[in-house]
Amino acid sequence: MTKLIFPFLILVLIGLVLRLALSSQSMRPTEVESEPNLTLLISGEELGYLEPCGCAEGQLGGFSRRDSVIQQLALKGKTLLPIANGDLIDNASRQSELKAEIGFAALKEMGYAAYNIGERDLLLGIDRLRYLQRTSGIPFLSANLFHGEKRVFQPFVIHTVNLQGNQIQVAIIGILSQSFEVQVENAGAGLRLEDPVVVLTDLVDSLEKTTDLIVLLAHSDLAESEALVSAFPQIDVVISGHEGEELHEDPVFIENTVLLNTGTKGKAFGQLDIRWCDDRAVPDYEFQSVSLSERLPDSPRMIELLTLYQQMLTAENLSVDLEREPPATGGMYVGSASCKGCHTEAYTVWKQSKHAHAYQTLVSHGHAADPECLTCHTVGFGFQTGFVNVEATPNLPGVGCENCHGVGGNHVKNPQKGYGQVIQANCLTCHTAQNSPKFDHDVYLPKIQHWKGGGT
Amino acid sequence: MKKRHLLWLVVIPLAFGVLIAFVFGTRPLDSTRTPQISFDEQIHDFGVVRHQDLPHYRFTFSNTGQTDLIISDIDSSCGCTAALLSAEAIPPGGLGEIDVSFNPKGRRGKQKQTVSVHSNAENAPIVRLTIQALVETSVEISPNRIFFGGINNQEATTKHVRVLDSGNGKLKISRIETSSAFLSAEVGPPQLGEVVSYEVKVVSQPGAPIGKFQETLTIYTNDKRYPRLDVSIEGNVLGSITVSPEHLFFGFVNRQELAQQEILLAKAGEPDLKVLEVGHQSQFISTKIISGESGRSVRIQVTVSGDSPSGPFRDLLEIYTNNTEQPVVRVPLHALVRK
Repeated sequence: MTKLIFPFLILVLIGLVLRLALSSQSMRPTEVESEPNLTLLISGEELGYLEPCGCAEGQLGGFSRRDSVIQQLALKGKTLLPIANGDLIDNASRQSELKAEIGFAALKEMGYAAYNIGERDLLLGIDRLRYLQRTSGIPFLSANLFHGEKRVFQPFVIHTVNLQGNQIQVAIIGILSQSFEVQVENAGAGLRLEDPVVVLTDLVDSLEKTTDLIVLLAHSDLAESEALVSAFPQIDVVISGHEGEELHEDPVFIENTVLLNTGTKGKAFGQLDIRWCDDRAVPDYEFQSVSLSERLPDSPRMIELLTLYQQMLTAENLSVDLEREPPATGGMYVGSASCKGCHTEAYTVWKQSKHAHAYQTLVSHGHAADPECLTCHTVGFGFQTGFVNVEATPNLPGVGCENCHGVGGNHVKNPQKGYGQVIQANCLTCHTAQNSPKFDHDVYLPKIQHWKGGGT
Repeated sequence: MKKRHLLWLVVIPLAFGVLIAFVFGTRPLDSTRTPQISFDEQIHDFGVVRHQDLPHYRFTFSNTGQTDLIISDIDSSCGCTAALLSAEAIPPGGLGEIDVSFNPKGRRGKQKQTVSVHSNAENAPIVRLTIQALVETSVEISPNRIFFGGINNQEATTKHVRVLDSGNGKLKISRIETSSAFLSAEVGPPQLGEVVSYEVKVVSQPGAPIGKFQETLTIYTNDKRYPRLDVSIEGNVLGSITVSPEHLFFGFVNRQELAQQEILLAKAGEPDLKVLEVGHQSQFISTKIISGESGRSVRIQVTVSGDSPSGPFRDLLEIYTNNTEQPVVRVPLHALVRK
């Protein structure tokens, strides 16, 4: 009996070896993934979207989720080099300035290694940008933006990364498309753009001799970026901008150069793993688009910064101190209570709907002083006679009758005049993919049905 | 001996059985027992569309697996793209449709949007459908906002926008106006090129009130679809004293540490600038006035102490000067003291 145990054990041993071989095949990508040589994290064109506002399910993006992913990747032992391709903000408002302050503080915390200036960033003014560069410590790049004969920002930055004992020199260059010539001229007297090709000619030649990897942050569209790749095959990685909202799933390879884009609004970021093999001059690339869904955890330090941002909005009273346009149709906002007398049934349905409590959603998420949120969560915000705050305009919080049907003053004065009819496009002004990703007109419409028959 | 052989006959097949079960036990034997999703095509190009169009396209798919395919979610990349699903559950062998529509209003040029289809399909839990279009507009304005930045209230400053006729080449500008008496606008003659364009010159006049402004340039045209075009004008009129930075932001301040920044006040014209006092509310802020020798500039060193309670920290610095035009300059300050 004892002798029989040996053959049995040998068979079990063979089984174990086979099992291990099979399982190691499925494990291989994970193991390699945890030991890449260098990982470029690519983002840009947030256009002021620092966080999902939280008013609906399924919203993508946000610095808080991005930071969580970056911290997770760092914990896996990856050597990270996060870089940004500009247009952190969208316009020249005071709210954008506050966003820039918070945004660059956030990028600093996330360890960003370079920031390429976009044409919208110039709306902050050169002085402000220099201040933000100084306080964030992030190198701001623009190789072809000049004031007179002097560059406004540094053309490139070189980062040395230590990869398993090897020192790798990574050069990151930034350029701004000449199609933004007018925006540059408007950003300040004496500002001008040089032709990127002219500027890059000397720059790329010298960097090729002294560095191991050249990355170009090209704030230009894909066609222009492709032309730059063709003109400068020595550049290893080119990040393009102004190429739609989505991050392309698959990188474009032009000879040995990888061409990627950033997408917009910070809904995702790109992760490019770069591995150098001893026997090959060209490294291996592995790319994935990291979608920032609500399944990801929030980063406490980003939450702190974003809370500060909301407090800054409150402190500066931005939702009250703003230029208010007259309503395009004339007349004045009156509030939903004014409709109650004649449209009692409709009012009762509305009162029980989520629309009626939309302002409360902002309060519970700490966004009640955010002008960008108030536009869709109150009646007539940004217009004369529209919402100011709950004290001054207590009848206008929430989404009311006039959000969809238009200003009601004229109809109240003269009911014969009728009120505005609603089309599907009205809903889409607030139920955008960013703010209301699960919005389905046919599913949502019955939830607010306060009319007879189907349709709107 | 016979008994021993009999035991071999039992043990070896048993061991092989265990071996096979052990090695392949967790591997699915037939992947088609799970739902499988298969699209006829995943990209559709609408071609050239105009603002008033609302094109849509039906992507068809089938369940090639052997259990029900459940579509759990459909995400659109943009508010301009809507997707309508024919049915959430598709039986084995069944067909489904996703009707994707694209609203080009407010967009121009090449557009590429995606719709992500989330399902329980084993072969592709997320499928991305792509729609492309080239949105044509008859009138374009570049840039679509005028930003003056900081401008001197003693001087005129000029900015330009271009109005491009991307339609039939018959565009005419009938009238042009701004919402402020301090902003004048004039339109140049039509410029012929690949497309007809007009250059509009907007000038801020001397004497504009100090501070930020937000105004509108309105352009009236003969285009039926765009009879009136509004362009936002923004800027900041500066007096003889300029402040840099206009707002202090310290970001994270470490506990028990000091964070320091400087404000620079510079004076144009007579070199007689003096800062008399700097006021603030918080006891955790200290300031030091460093006057320049020329009378053209004064630096103010601002220090935030990390002894302040953790969390958001703000104050408003009030800088009192000897200048009658700008006796007080206010600089907001924000910081976040680490926990």
